[in-house]
Amino acid sequence: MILQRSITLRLALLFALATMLLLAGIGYFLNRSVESHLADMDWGEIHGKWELTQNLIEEIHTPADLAAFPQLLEGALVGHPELFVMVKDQTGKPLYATPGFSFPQQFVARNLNVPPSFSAMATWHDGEHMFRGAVATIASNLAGHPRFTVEIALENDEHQHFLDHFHRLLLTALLFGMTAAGALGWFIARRGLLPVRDMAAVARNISVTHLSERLRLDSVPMELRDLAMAFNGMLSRLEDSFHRLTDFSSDIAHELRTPINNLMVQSQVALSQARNTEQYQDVIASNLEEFDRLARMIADMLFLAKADNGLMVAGREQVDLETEIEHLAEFFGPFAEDRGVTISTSGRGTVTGDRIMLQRAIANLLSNAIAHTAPGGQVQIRLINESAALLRVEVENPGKAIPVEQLGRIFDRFYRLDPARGTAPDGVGLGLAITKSIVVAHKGYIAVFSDNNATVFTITLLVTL
Amino acid sequence: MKILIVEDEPKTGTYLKQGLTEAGFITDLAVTGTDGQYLALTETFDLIILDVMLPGINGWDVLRALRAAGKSMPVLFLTARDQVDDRVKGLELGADDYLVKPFAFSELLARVRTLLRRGKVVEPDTLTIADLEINLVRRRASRSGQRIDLTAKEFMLLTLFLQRQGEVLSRTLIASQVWDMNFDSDTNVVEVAIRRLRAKIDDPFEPKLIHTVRGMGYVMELRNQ
Repeated sequence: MILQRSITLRLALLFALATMLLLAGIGYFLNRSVESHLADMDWGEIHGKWELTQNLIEEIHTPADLAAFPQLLEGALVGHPELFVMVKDQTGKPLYATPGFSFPQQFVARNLNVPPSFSAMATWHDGEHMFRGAVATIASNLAGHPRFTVEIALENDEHQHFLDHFHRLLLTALLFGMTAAGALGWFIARRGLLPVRDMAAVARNISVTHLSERLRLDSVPMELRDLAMAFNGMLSRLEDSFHRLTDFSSDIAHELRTPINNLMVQSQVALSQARNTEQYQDVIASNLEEFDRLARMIADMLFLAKADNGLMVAGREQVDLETEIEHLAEFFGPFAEDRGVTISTSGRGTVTGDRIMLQRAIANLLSNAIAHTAPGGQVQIRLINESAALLRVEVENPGKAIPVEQLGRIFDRFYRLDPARGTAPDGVGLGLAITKSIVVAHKGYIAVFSDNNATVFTITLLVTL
Repeated sequence: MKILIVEDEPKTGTYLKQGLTEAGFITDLAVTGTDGQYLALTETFDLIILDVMLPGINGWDVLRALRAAGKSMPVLFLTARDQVDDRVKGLELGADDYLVKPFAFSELLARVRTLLRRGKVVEPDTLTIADLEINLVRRRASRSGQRIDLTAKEFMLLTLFLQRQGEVLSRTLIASQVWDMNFDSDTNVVEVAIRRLRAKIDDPFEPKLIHTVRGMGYVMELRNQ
């Protein structure tokens, strides 16, 4: 619905609705008080004539007085064409009646025989005219005529016209007020939402090359500050991811260059002149080694890409790390032995996780450790129960301290401690990055410590994932 | 043994055909899903190697059509996408195995042989090649009648070679089968283990049985000198 989509429109309509309710309320009370004031005035008029009539009736003491009464009354009513009076004696015979006027039956029936009051005032319509009136019985001082019935009516067309006009005025005010409030509301809402449009303008300007742009918090209204902060936070995360991605891409390009260059040059040289079968075989086999390296690099990069995207879900099985480490020690044993390095294992512990991934993570550390240990040294793998919930795997090898500035980057992709040596033990320079991503996928923590005696990598894992 | 290769990438298709033919299989190559499905439905093959992304009909649909038509020959999927979902989907549809590109040809050959062998293998008590013999029950190895002492892992490694005589075994495959190490490692750990095994079973004897295939791995076979 369009209402749900446009805040401006919604606010404008709400403004109009609120104004309408307010004006209608005010109009209602104004109308009420005007009407009651007019009724008061009517009543004043009726009551005045009532008292006059009563006085005249009370003055009747003799039949002569009675005969003179209509004359007197008529005289009192001169100049009041809106007033109609009828006086009857107890038999119902009219003594006086304003000519050309008849009181409706229902009105006459309302005679309560008590002096008239405001609340007993009756209202009726006759055609287009409206009347107010009162009826009551007045005791007389004339013998033979104990009481008279007096009916007084007041035509209040003038008030009615005024009221009609007043109503029209109120309605006009209401409609105009509503429209004006709606229009003003729309204008105010648009103005009020200007900061949002400013934010949108900033957002529109943000592209890959301007990822460092941020919304200025001091210029944003309080109400939008949360939104702006969330927006900036999102930008920061995007920028970070984007930078990592571009770094990674350029790393990949760089890393691919060497093996592809080898392949190209080797193949071109091989084809530049006729050679014997063995030489061709040699070239192809050498190419195969490069291809192998490329394939492994691709597999590793895919692994890391999946880890980055949170697609790597660690399996949840019980992994007996003691057994895994013994297997790893057995696997790497002959290789280490060849280099004059021994492997010692200690401790026990089980964690939930992905067996193959954990195996790979520890294998990377172990193969690095063996590669960096001088002949005669010993690589130690220790399992330490840090607490009931945490298990620490430590892989330690004796050796020179790794410089601090290198320690900080040691888990970065393609980072090699010794650039001169070209290849890390795993050949690609992704081993530690992979180890780290595996540990992270297990919600664990990896760290490295290095001094002049030894380098220790520690993986801290949750016993129950 | 007749194998159908359905692969749209011309180089891959040609080399697969050549490689499998040279390995002693009769092969047919289809370059679209439509052709592949037609061939598979109208002719008899012992195994199908099926690429997933194909022009015409994709690999999943070809497989679905085959299984719907009651064809039950083993199907090996090839794909460049290493997504768990893909793997699960393939296996659910009735694929028998799955290889992610790039793969080693030796690995493909090994899987093809395993699939064709499936259900037909009776594991013998003893395995032999030339004058080398191992007894799987007593876990003993001897060559030229001389008993050879092997560690448990060396024995497993030798058994693997004897079971897969003539097949090139990659380092990754060996690490996974013998040590249960299921990751690609470039370390020459396997090399050292092979060297030690050779020192025991090959160095003092003739002819040599374990051969290095450069860039691919190792193979155990009796070669004419």
